[in-house]
Amino acid sequence: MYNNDLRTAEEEAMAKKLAEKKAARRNKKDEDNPLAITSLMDALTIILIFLLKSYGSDPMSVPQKKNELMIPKSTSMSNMVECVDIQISRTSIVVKGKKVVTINNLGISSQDAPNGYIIKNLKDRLDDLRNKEIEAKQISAKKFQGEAFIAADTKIPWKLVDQVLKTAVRARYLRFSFAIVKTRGG
Amino acid sequence: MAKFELEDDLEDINLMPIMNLLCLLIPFLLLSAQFIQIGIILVDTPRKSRVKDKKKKKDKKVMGLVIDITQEGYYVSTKKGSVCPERKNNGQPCIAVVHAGGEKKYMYDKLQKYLYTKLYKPNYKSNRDKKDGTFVDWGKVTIRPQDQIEYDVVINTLDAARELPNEAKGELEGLESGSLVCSFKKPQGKKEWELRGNCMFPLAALGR
Repeated sequence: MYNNDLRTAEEEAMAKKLAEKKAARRNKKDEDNPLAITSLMDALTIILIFLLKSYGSDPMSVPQKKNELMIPKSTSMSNMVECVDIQISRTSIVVKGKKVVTINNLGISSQDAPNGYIIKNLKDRLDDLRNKEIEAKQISAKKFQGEAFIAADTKIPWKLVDQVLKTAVRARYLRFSFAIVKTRGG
Repeated sequence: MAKFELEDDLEDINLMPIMNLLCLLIPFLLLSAQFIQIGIILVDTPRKSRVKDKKKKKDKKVMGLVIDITQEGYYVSTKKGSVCPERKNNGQPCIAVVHAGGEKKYMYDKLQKYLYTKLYKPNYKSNRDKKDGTFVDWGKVTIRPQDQIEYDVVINTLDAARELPNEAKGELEGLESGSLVCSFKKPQGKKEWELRGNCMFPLAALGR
């Protein structure tokens, strides 16, 4: 009976000691290593670099908006280069970020295109940009052959796109690249 | 001993401000980044295309491929006339639109195969080898959509005219590499675009 009591007391003391040791070890660990965030930092830095790289890879961006400007899908694999960009949405025509014409019922009003085809404000804006380009590149006005990048909404009727093309040709922009969403990677 | 004391005195760099900055930057970039890939389809105006052809030798043949997109479908013609004269005489397009579920559908796949079998495949070898009968405007197509045709239809028609159908892989000899990809590339510092890959009629002029 006495022996059993002694053993229990000894065991209790041992268990207490062990618990104290464990607690001490736990506390010590917390104090030494506050939080291992180095690996997390590495991962975040990689994600940041990837995002920054994908952000700046295209020379121009096309802000797509539902029911306003949704560019068509295509199997084309060609990449864009920097040139004058013209956006034809369901409500307006924007050239290099500046709105030049308002569109009503997917068409141009007779005020904006007095002779039926050439859009006056668009022509003026493209003339300005052409003159700036001629000055910057120091080439003769006769030799100038500009390139334009056209981002148009899928539902735009061809007549409107044709009016823009004809106006651009009048301003000596003779080659066009139509913006598309790639359906094939590359 | 002195060294150990020095190390003990140094504190870890506080990474929390950098972490905070990164945690703010990543959602911002994720929201503003565009994950869809934007590409282009290169087109000329018909006038520019004609001027280029005149500069080339006059003794060569001209194909003069034209695709008219109408509300009824596609009318395909060359310099010789309609590619489907019987249908044209009956007032029908070469490839008619299909009405399904109250919607009008243009048959892009059918147009692609039609152009390939009727015009591309029979003339492929002579134009590749630059033999007699080479067309001065080989690879060119003029697409003339009606005013009310949607822009989306024009883009899909350009795709159908540019890309070779899958059966070309087994039927045409001497295709570059194994794939049927056709693309334009502008080498750095150069003015003109270069054509890469295997294409059918990639040089498109739009309008009249």
